[in-house]
Amino acid sequence: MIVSRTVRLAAVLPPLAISLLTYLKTDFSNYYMVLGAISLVLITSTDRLKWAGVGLVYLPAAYTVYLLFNGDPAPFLGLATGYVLISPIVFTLAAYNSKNLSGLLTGYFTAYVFATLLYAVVEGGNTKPEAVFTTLVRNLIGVFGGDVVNIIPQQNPPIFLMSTITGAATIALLLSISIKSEGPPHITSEWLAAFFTAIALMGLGVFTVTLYPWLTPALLLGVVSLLTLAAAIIVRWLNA
Amino acid sequence: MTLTNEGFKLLTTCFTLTLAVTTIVVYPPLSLSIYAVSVFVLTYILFAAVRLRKIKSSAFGFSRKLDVKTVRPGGRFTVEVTLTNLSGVPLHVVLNDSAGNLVLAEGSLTIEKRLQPNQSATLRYKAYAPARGVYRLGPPVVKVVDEYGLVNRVLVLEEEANVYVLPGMVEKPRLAEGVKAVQNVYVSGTGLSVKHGVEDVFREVGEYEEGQPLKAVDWRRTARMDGELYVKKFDRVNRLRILFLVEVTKGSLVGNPTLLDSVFASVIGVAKAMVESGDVVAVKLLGQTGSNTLTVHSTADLEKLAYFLTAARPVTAYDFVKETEEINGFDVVFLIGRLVNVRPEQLLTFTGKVRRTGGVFFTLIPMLDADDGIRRALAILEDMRVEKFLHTANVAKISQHSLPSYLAHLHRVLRAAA
Repeated sequence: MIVSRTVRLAAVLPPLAISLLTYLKTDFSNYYMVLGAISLVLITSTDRLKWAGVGLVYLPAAYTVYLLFNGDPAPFLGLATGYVLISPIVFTLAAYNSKNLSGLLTGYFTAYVFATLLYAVVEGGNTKPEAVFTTLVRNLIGVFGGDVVNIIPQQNPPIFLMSTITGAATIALLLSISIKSEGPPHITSEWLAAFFTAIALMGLGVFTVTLYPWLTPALLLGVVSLLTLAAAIIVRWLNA
Repeated sequence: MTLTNEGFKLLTTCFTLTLAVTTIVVYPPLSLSIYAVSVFVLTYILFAAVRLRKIKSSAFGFSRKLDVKTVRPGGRFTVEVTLTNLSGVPLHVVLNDSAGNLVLAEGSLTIEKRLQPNQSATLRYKAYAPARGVYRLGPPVVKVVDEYGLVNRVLVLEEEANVYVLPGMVEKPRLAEGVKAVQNVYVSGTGLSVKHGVEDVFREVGEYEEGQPLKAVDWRRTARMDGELYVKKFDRVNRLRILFLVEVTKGSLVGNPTLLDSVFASVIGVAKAMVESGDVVAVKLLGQTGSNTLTVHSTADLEKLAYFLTAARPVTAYDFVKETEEINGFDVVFLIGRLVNVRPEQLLTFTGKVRRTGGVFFTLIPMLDADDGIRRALAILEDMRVEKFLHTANVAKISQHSLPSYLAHLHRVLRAAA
């Protein structure tokens, strides 16, 4: 139980780390932001707390809208920023508690992307609650105006730090596949063979990222596509 | 070899995320992470599929048992399916059985278990058949799943098994209460053994063949000859050749038990008595295509008769003349049914035909027991409908519950006259 939970925690570490870096640079002077963050976490918690979360969501939301129409937009933007800032943590919690592997992987990916987007906003000097929200929206709209469509902005979390944490998280993700019913990882010969294959092909990816970064996306997609094609052919042959 | 739901979802997720991290969400650590997971999942699935391919049906021992010998309509029975792992390695299996049209009363048709070598898993469920007929169990399907539940191999262990649900037996009230209307019985016997009353007439002495009873051995002859065993052979001259013509029509599917089931139960019961007394019984199902006649020579054939009747499928209508045109050579012919597809003159013609060949013909019309208002009304209508047949000789209206008694009575009369 403890081992499996630890592995899960390690698997969702990258978005947590990026979020931590983001929060360290954020200005929490607007208390509506804290209120928004807490209410969103509560609403995804246990059933009993969920009702408290609903109260915490609707009442402040109604009140801040009232203030907005009376010429005070700061509470409304603070609340919205609180929701947005806490969203990577919410996705991380969803991934951590996910009952299946696809849920874990999707939650991991979503939390990672959101955390990176928010980090880029704060890293760009937009630490005030009002600025975080508006810049995030502007960044997302601006993505589709450029030559290359990439949601991840230029202001990234430190690559070296994140590579290390993500590497560990990836191994934890692979170990999660080998965990059934909250027990310890059960490593089989097929798991080991697949693990070493993945490490070898990841080495190829790291090599490409280092030397030919522009080629990396095409290489990764190409390898996975070829493997999928090979798998389809081999499984068909096995079924013959 | 197939992916499980979990395997399919994971693979789809991996591929979608790979597409995302190489096109619109390009951040090297994340891209490489998703890429590594995708490569891992793909290669793992391949390795697991190759390993599972080596597992064959022979890796399992399988048995299915029912806790009853005879299945009756509505009667619950327990099915016990046992699967044993003979592969020598631990296997995670999901065993699925199929109950076809049987109604599942208790338990589940699926069991999932990790089986150690030589360990067994037992699946138990209770089911019942709503009506007479042939039902199917199985085929049992075993899914051998890999350690992480991503790939499975589906093995069908055997073909489906038939469950014959025999007609429910009916109670036997007093004969006098059951006979609704009956014409005089004219018995014209076979004329073969009236004078002597003996059953067996010596024919010849032959060599002993394996399986013949020792009481048939002619010991004197054997002692005189070269050591070979010799047996006496006899002809049974007063053996009655009896034919049941049973209407299998949807119009007989009324009542509980249905008229048709009552007829089948009666035929099985009386056929047993007949073959035990040395007669040969043939049953022809009117309205059935394909093999529609079965001859019962001995009690050993009675089980076949039960299965034969159980498998009968009622039809809407049939042609009485066509079905009976090739019938001859029987000493007694019983026609049992509601005669919905028969006209009185056709019945008369057939009666004459049977008589000309030295036989005797009885027509029995089973009647529903009228124990409530609706059934009484139906019985009155049925009485009016069959009235036209009652002017023909040897036609009787019999309560469905009295059919066995009446048939047995007729058989006794015929044996006495033979």
